Amino acid sequence: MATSTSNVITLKGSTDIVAEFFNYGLNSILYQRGLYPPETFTHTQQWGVTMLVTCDKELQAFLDKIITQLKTWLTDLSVAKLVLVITDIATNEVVERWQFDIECDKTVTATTKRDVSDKDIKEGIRSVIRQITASVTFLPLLESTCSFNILVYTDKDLDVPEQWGETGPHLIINSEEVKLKSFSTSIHSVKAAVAFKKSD
Amino acid sequence: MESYMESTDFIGLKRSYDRDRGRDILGLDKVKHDLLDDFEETPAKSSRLTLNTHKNKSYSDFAMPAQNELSLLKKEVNLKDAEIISMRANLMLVENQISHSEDTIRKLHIEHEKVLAKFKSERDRDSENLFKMKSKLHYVMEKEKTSREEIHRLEEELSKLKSESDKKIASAQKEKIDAMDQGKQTGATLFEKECELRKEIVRLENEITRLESKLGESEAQLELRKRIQTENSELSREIENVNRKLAEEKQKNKELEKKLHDHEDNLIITSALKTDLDQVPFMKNELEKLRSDNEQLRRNEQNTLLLEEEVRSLKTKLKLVEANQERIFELEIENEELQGRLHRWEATDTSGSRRPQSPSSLSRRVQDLEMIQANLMLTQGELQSVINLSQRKFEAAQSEIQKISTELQAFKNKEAQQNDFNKRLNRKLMLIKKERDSYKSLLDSYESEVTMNFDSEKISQVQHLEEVILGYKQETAELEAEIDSLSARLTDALAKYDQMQQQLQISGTTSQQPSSRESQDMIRQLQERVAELEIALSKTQEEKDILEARIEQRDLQGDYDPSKIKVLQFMMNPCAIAQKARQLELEKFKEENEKLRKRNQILEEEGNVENITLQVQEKLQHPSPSKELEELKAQLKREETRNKRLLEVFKKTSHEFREVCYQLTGYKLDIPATNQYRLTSMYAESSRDHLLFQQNERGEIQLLQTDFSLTLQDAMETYLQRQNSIPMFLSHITMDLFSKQTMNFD
Repeated sequence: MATSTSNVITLKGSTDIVAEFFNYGLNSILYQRGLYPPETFTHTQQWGVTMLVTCDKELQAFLDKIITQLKTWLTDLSVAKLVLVITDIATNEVVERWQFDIECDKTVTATTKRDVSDKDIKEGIRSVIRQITASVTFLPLLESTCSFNILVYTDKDLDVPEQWGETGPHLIINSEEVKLKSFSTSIHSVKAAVAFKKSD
Repeated sequence: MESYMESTDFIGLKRSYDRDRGRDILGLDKVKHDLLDDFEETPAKSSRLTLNTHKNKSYSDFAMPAQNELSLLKKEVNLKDAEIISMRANLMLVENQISHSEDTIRKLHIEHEKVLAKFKSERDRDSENLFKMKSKLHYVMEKEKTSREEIHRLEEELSKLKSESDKKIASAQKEKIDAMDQGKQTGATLFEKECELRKEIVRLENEITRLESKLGESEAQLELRKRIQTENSELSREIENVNRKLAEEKQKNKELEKKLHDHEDNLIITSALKTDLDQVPFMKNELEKLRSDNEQLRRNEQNTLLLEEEVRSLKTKLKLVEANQERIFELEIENEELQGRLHRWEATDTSGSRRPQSPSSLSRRVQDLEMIQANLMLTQGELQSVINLSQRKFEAAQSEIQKISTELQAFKNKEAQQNDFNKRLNRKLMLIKKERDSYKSLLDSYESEVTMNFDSEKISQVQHLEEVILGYKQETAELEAEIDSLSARLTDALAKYDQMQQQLQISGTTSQQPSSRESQDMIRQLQERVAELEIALSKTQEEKDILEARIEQRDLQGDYDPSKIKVLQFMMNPCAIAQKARQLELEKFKEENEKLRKRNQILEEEGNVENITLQVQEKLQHPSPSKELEELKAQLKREETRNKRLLEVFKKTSHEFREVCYQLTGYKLDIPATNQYRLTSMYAESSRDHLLFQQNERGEIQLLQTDFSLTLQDAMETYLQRQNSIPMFLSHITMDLFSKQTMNFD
């Protein structure tokens, strides 16, 4: 019984998995890039990997809001990209963009069930997380104080929820891009990439 | 410790008693032990030793009578000496042993005495105990006596009670017998009563059956009644209906009466009318007649109308006929005129035989002629077009001929040139021949002059010259061959020319060739275009690839299609917050800067400018303390958070540790003050029952007095004072409390 259910995925299940990935992924990036002091992060085990999750109450609240909103968009299949933008506070210049392209299978409905191995999905997520961790080696050091923002690319006809607003793509001038690995739940597939300012 | 021990008299007493008892047990143990030790050197063992020596002796006695010879005796003496010596040695050994054993005996004696003393003291204590026991026994016996008395008393009471109860029983039995008698009597009466009742029952049953039959009858009657009633009700309903109908009928009757009345009136009227009616058949006949008349008249009227119409049409016709008649007259006049003319025409035409006999034949001829003319015109047009075509072809051919003739001219010119060239060569040849002749004559003259000397040279020169001539000859032959080839080419060209002309003619006749050429041209053009397009295609493909690559790059950079997608952000994101905070800070700084500037100005105005500037510079050289302070604060905060985290972890682990300790040992360990440890048992009866330990400077652990420890004096003595083991003490308490609790549960 347990094995048979673990190989079938629904829209809700896929949404949960992707949202969880973003929760840990964003936390991981924030830790890796040193945007918040390392002592404000604690260790947890997820997908067989040790992950760092913030203890900062404000940051937690912000991420929770993002993730819950993202969940509704994922179930509506109306989200195209999620981008974590790192900006220099002093110059308001975009220094780094972590871009996650989300491809939604628009044919899926709430009752659709797909045969997919839970193990494969987890393996995919694990490899993406590992790459995020490893990418610190080639990314340039963030010297000035930076902050981050999260952009969500959604369908044009979507109603903008409260406390949200439209904005620009926050592109980097003179950037270098690196494609990262991707994973798919067969309903949503997530392609990761990072763009950063070319060092002079 | 001691002070605590002597805190209460009672405890002291108890302690002494317990100690005595403890020592007692120990002493007994020791005695037993000593006795066991003595078994090592028992008298039985020593006797065994002596027995051995006896054996040896008997052996020697037995050896002596066996040999009576002297030498043997000597040997025997020797042997005996040796034996004696050995015996002596044995004796010495035995003596030593004896002395040793004596010592041990003495020692044992002393020990024995000691033990005896101990025994004595023990006996004293025992006697004391015995005394105590005796007193206790006395007390017990007294108690027993009293209890026996009590028992006696109770037994007496019991016997009394027994007799009483016996009496009671007897009376009760009597009562019972009485009651039984009564019962029997009542039984008899009851039987009688029962019989009566049975009879009554039978009677009643009979009555019941009677009543039942009656009931059946009455029920049947009731049924009948009911049926009648229903019938009655039906009847009454019917009556009502009838009544209603009656009323209706009455009303109808009234109406009918009215009608009758009306009828009577009508009858009067009808009687009056009947007289009139008698006249009706007559009138009918008259009416019939009138009707037929009327019909006739109507028909007549129609006829008249028709006739009138006819008259009107006839009148119009008449008018038309009159007009026609007039025209006929005119036409007759004309006809006559024309007939005259015709006659004249016919009269004049008699002369020519070929002339047409009639205008129709004339007109037919004219038509034929016209037809012929038209045909001719058509053929003329065709011919004209053919002429035009052939003209054009001719012109083309002419131009071709001109071209070919010019070519021919050119060939002819070439031929003429060749001929000239040939002639020149011939002339040259002639000149060369003459030269050769002259050279020959010259040579002859030289020969004649020099005679024989230069013969060989001359011959070689001649030979050389002859070779030259041969070369010339070859050249001429070549030139001639060239001329031949040229003339052949000329004939070829001519043939070609003929061919061309023929072709021209063929081309003149066939007009398909140009069209094919056109299509060929078109094909060529199309092919060219195809080639061009292919090039363009490859170019665009390349461009497309480049653009796709660029699009992908743009996508990676985060570009998007604004017609399909929009970008959203959470308004209160960390970046915006940070920006705002920065802006606020900046504004604050600006304000502060402004303030300080003003202050500075005022200070400058007041004087001591130098001082301030100096101070400022000095301050600037050193890092501002506030900044340093902030940094330190941040560091402090960081350290604090780290510390907090560590504390949390420590707390968690310590809690776990203590919990595990509590689960494993059954004691909760607290530290109320430094070096003090409070232990509370898992099975403690109340939360206040706890033990307090203290660790001194040397690391030893001591028990402190608590309310709970006061109740554990025995255990403290046995485990702490004597055995010096705290774990045993603790486990004893655990066992004790646990057994108490389980007892409570039972």
